[in-house]
Amino acid sequence: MPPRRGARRHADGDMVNCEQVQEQLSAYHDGMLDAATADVVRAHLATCPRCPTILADYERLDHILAQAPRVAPGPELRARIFSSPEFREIVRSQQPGAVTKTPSVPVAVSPRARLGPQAARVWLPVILLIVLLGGTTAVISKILASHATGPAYATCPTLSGGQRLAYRYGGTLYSDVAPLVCDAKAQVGLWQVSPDGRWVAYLNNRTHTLRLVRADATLDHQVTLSAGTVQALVWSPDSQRVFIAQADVGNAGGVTLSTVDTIVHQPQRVAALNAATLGSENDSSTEAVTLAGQPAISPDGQFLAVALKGVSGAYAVAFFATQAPTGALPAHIANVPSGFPIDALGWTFGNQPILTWMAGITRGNAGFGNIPHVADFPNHKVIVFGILGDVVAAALNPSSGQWAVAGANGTVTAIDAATGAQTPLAQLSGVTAFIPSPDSAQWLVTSRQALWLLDATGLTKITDKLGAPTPAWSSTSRIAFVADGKVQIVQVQSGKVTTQAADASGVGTVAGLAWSPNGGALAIWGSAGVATVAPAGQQQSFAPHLASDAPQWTA
Amino acid sequence: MAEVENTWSFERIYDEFKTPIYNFIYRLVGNREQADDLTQDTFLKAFKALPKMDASLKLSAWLYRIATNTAYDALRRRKLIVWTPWQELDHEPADRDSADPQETIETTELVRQALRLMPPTYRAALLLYTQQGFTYGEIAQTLGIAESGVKMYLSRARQSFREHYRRLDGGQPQPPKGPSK
Repeated sequence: MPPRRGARRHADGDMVNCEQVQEQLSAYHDGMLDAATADVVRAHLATCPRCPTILADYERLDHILAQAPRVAPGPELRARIFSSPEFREIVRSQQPGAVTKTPSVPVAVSPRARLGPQAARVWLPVILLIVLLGGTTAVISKILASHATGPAYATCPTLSGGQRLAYRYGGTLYSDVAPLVCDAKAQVGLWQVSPDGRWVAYLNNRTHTLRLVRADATLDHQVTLSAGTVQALVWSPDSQRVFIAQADVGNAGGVTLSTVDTIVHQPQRVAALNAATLGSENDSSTEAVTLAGQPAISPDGQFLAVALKGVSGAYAVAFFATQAPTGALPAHIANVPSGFPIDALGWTFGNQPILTWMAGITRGNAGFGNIPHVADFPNHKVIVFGILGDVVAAALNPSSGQWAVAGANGTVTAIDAATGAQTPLAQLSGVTAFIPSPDSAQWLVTSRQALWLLDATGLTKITDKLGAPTPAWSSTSRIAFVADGKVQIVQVQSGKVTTQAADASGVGTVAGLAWSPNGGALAIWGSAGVATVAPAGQQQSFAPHLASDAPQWTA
Repeated sequence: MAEVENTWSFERIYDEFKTPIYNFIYRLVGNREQADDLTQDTFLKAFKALPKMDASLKLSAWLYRIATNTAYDALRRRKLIVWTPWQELDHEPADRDSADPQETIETTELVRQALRLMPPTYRAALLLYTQQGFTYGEIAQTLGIAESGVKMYLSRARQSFREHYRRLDGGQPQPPKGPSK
């Protein structure tokens, strides 16, 4: 460090000034000076009134910079990169003897959607093929192997929290932009999101096992071996257990219900249903029974109900205590009169859950049944069954404990599930379906191409250009439906209907709609993709995938 | 499982480095939209070149080098075309460790503004050292300069950052202007 003009003489005889020292302070701070220079700086600092302040500032500001919050990219960037034409070009160019034709994305997406998520998964098989053929992986793997940080990826990359849309496509599960199941050989069959949104139970049809994966993809593990032919998966309301309905392959046929704890995993048989279920245990030519619809679990999780069908056409409703010991028989069987196929089965909410069902609609002569005091089991009161006549549509509103029933003569009636009491609501012909409000005594009613809101005050028309997908009702009282080929979102307050449109470009012909549990986002899926939109109508994510079945929200 | 590993190689790289690279670029250019674009460019350039690289490649430094050059190019272009205002404080930190949110926001804002006023070349060196924990050698490799150059860059960077930070912290008004060259 040569002395300069204005320098102060140090004890060691070197002449240094503040300017010279300050040029070295940064390296001194970092311990990057040679010993001699460091000594000079140290000596200067011991006597200088200004330079130590600067050094202290460097120390403080380094700390501030180190502690400054890191800004993370949004999830859409990932999809944007991996669905970009450039990425596709990279993948293609790295394939030996690469084809020159660019694979086309099977959907025309909106500009925003193009920037949006998960188109990347379309290229997964392509990437796999190319990587395997091209030898690219060997190099990348070596580089990755030499990169010491970060754990090995036994599962998919961890997903961010919050509400995400899970859907099945190409034999596996996805969550918004990212894969949820990363076993390349998995063949996902039935799947169901837990009520708390934190787990997804799915069947791997290749290995015939039931597996659980966390909604953030951090854990994907097997919970049963040889699940066999599973016909239904049902979660307990507390998300602690999964119930599995399996077809028995024994001589007598039948259905076995088991439960698997998400923690303990050990499957436990809840009930075995066979010909005896239908009261024909003395018949040596016993008939097999099959499930007639999805099992329904009571809101308190104490009972599981199933509708059963025998090969002779007999029907029955059975319910079970879910905590029953292994191999326990059904708690109760309610045989339904012959000729009354069970159309709908459900539980009402409230302190005294009521098991109730509707049968015979498709035969032109409907019957309604219930078990009003299931919780009193085994001293429960047995069934009321009433004939309703020619019914064309019916649906249970669990929150109000009422059925809405449309007669062939155009009468719309509310039936109390507990008492069977009937209350006329409106007159409307051509009713095709009722959709209950998630939290009030209201229904949406579809009638030909019209959509109506039905409550105690009567009918309010929402649109007369209703499209095919079933309208969806959010927890925040928004109603989504397709009209004129476009997705509309309406809110009805005091009879006033306010409407907005959602951006569903790229989805193709809309096949279904589903609100997220908090009503904060709407899933729209169709012939060309799966999208989510925010309440304001703007698109949040998009994947050019044809969902194999209805997507479900995770949390 | 090998196939899964192979399949996700590119995505593994992205998932491993997305936040540090994005944060680094954002701190260099100070604009979320541009950081999105430049992060995309950075990873695509890396994916394109990666198969040709030697297996001994130090992935981290190499990615930062691409990110730095990509950001520098963009900053040069921006100067020629139009000055994009810096965004307001982002509230999407990947991590935060402070007992006083208000204090964190104020400090973060000071850091953001002080960085903005620094020459980008020095800014990169300072960020790599303080936020990414790079050594002088790694910074030299990333920026394509000698280690002695790193010493000079960091010295200038600290002087510049301190000067701007102190001025901003003292409440003295700064005339609005774009990022320094």
